[in-house]
Amino acid sequence: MSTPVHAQDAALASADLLTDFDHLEPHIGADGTPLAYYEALRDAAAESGHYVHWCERYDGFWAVFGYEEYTEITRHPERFSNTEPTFPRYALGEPLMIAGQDDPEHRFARALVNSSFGPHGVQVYEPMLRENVNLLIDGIIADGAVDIAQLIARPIPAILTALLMGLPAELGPKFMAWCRAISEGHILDPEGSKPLIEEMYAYFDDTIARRKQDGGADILSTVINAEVDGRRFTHRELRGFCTLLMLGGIDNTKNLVGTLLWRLAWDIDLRTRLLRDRALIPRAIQECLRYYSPAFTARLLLEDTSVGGVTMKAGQMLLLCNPIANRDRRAFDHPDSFILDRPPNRHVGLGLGVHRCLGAHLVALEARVIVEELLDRLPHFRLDPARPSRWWPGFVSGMGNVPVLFEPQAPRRDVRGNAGVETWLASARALPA
Amino acid sequence: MTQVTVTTRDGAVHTLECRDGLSLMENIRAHGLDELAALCGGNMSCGTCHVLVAPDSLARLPPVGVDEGYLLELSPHRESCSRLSCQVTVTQALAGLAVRIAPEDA
Ligand code: HEM
Ligand code: FES
Repeated sequence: MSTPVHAQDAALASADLLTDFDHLEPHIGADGTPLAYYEALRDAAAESGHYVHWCERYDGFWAVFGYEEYTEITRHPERFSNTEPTFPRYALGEPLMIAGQDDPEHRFARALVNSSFGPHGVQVYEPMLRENVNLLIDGIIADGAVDIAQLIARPIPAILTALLMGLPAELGPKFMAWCRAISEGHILDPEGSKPLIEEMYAYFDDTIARRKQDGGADILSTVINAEVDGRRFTHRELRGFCTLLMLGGIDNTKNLVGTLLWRLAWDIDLRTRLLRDRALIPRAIQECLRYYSPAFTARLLLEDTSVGGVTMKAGQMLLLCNPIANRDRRAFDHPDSFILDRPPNRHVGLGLGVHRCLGAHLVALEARVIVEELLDRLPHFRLDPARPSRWWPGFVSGMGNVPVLFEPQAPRRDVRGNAGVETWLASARALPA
Repeated sequence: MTQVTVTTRDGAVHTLECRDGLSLMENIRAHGLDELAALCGGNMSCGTCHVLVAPDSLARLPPVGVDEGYLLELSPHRESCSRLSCQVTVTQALAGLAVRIAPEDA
């Protein structure tokens, strides 16, 4: 597919493109993605000579479009605070731990969990991931037509997050409902979201209490039992840790994987290269993080300061535009092409600096296992011409519906789905098409 | 202040007055040597602060940690004198340390 020409789209030629920038409601181009919109914003910023712009939506914010400016901001956490890490703000009862903390609290909390999420720490999850991916594939392989974003990309991160927290995998669909209530439900449907958010905190309260009593080997237990200077985390902080794992681990990953599977469904060159040489899969994942960056990032300015030639005031919000900084021509050659041979690929899809994604190695593992198993078992899935794929916009965004077709096959006869997988298959099938 | 020499990828040798108590990575970046990417800001998650320590200085550093070793293993440029500079705290004991910034991982 060739990159769409943004000039053809009248909306993108508007003089107010920069001032009206809206990351939650991007223009979706003919290819079904907001990439042309991102490119147009990048070009408008470059033409204006400023890579940081004041935008008027959501009571006003500074949008950071340039890679250099992104780097400068993330290297100065003492001025650019993480206490508001999303924009607009999520409906959280407690501040997020780690992602929503500044030093010294951030340094301490992050150091506590770093090791569990390192390249070594995450290896323990590989067999379990492979098993669950295969059980999901067994659940769909006889169908020949499924929404692969809903039935593969969505369940896996939710199942893994439940297990990280020592919770039953069947909880996955609940996690998804809670995530949505916090991130956008409180804006779109405040009445419907409230009971969900209450249910979530009640569930976490109960889990924390049980873990304190019975102990456990999961990451939540590690954090509950951690002590520094004789102090333990408060109940509020532990609640903030539960929501952090859920929000950080699920929404982003499902969007990244959904988008990558969509790309593999039509980009035959890419798929053929990966089928021939599996060692290229990690590169495809990193390039996907650059090219389709699922996440935005936010900061609260603590003091008056200048970046990229503009002066900002203490108390103002910054939106760091990962997908746009990732196509800055000053930092990337041919930024509008999806290129496997890019390394070193210094994208900011996972952020930069001390708040760079804690789950970086986990994401790489999850996405790799899913792609490897799918390419093994369904090497020829293709987009369903009758049912279009759909981009789900938001602070975290990606291809949320990817209906595909493939030759139906018999499932592996010796396996049965576990409770987590069965719950997912049932709940995903019950969704409206 | 502790003096450390850093050789960049172009072969240039830089003598750095390093602040004790900060990591070698923070010191290298504070001197504007941006080719040391250090993407994760010292959280031992990215492996892009890789340096090669002059073999005769190696014994002065504490041993490689478990997680540090795993990250270094992912680099094709790993050598027996490889370290992650975010895991090396500068102290007076390191005066005269010489390191080279490792080639970029492809
Ligand atoms: C494709 C998947 C993912 C993407 C695109 C992504 C993206 C990001 C980004 C951009 C940040 C930086 C936020 C900031 O600078 O304020 C971040 C931080 C974080 N991510 Fe991820 N993430 C992903 C998956 C995960 C997973 C699987 C986890 C699992 C635990 C996770 C946990 C976190 C945490 C805890 C932070 C905060 C780190 C800190 O503030 O020190 N993420 N992520
Ligand atoms: S800075 Fe990332 S590992 Fe050292």
